Amino acid sequence: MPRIVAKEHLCLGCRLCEIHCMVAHSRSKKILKAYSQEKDALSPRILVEDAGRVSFAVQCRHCENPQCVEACIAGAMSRDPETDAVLCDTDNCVGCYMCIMVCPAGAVLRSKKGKVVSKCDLCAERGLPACVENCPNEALAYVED
Amino acid sequence: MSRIDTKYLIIGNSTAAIAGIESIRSIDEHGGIILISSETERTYSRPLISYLLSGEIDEKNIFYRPADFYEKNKIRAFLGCEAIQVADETRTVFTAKKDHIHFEKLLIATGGAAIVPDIPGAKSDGVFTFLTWKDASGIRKFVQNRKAHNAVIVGAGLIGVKLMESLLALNLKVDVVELASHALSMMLDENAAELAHTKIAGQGVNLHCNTTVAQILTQYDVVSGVRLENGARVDCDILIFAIGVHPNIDIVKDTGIKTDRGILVDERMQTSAPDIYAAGDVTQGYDFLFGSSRPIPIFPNASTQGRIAGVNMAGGDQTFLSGMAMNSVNVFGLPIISVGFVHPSGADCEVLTNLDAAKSTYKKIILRDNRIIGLILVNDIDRAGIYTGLIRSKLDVREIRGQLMTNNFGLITLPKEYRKHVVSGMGIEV
Repeated sequence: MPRIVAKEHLCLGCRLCEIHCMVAHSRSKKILKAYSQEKDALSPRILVEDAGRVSFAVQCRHCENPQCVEACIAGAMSRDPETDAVLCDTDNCVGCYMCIMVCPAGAVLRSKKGKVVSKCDLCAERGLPACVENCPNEALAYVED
Repeated sequence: MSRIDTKYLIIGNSTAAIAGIESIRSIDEHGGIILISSETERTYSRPLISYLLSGEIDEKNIFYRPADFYEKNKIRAFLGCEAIQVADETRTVFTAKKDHIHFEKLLIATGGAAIVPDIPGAKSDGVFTFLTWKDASGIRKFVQNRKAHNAVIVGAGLIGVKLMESLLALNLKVDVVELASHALSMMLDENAAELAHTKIAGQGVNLHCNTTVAQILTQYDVVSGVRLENGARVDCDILIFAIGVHPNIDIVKDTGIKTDRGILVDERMQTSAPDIYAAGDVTQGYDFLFGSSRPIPIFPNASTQGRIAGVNMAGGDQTFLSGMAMNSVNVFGLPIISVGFVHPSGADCEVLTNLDAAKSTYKKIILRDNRIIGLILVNDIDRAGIYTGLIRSKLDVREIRGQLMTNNFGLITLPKEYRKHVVSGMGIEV
């Protein structure tokens, strides 16, 4: 199962992962255009937490028994049988936030685009996740086990 | 009358049944599965009927699984077929069509039925409950055909509140009658309810608390209003009961399967009869926060119970020990989450609260023995699941108590060892 691993001791707390996550999920995929035209609709699906000198980035853990999938009243959350990623079909999501209630990592977030949730999709269209590719200190790694 | 044999028999077609099927198939790809359901529709989401009634979603979005679900999972689905009686000793289920279905393993996932009080007029035209797709279609048709203008909802629980939204979207004037002192009384305390009430009142809904319907008024056997126990009279042309569900246990009467309010299940979701399992709203399982068994008719409970039942039916061995009440509801744009034991009683409970009425935000944490046992979040809900995880894991929070209520509460607040546990050894390396 592919996963993104965060390395707390390497994280600078620069939040570039958040920026690149938003760009990767923008329509234009261009940082300047995304910022100038789509800023209000975009929110990162990765969250940098920091306290004092400690920081790390967290996104969906794509759990083995995903509680968000079990709690989803709309059948919108599911595990992709091919990639094993836990994905949200935003056409079916009704924004009940049951997934937010049960995610033990607090990694499902409200989307700015109306009543739906926003979560890491492992950059399914992209290959290497944007947060991993753009982390300047290799504090994020993409592993498949 | 015919005899049918199957390895697995599933009675029900909703959350618990589907979760059961999916987990059986994750272990046993080919064992024969028959599903029987009294409803005629393929599997759909019960909680979405309010969204369908309001027009927020189309019919194509109400289905809980894709159209090829039964085919892909090799399920023989008998829809519109009611199971009448379980015979535990002969491992047979009798249907209304007089079939005998013999099973090796049975999952009873018959859900709950809407409660209608036993008062005169309750069977009149214009009186509804709100649990199934058929109920939603019936309400829509009635409102359109009779040109209904005024609705009374009895019960301001989760279903009642979502129904308010639907009926307002249909341009009805809505009155709601609630026996408790506030709406969503199972989920919320007074502070949280007040924020919800402001939203509800802002939509023009009249909420009558601390009272209930004493009498249903009718004209020519059609509902025309209600008289409340507090003496008030409310005219209406449609009346909908949303006062809860009771487990559908009739199917096991006169068997050795033990029941109380629901079908009693152990931590493996097995009933008192061998090879017969139950899951979802029909059950009465263990609530680890109450320390006793009780019906917990909520969606995530049904799917987890279904998954556990399915694993054990297919020869695995898993237990579910962390059943508890929890719910998430959006009240006219105000998101609210409630988890666990939210009505603290006794001196051993400690309560932390933070209310900001101007921002409509509220946070309440209930602790017992240095463990979080309950949570209410209004508006600022984004990290709710981290608290839910702490409740489930019974983590001693003594060391992080000071940070529980802070705005930057997150995984970073948690002890390093727990953080590792959350991400199962992967993810945040410490």
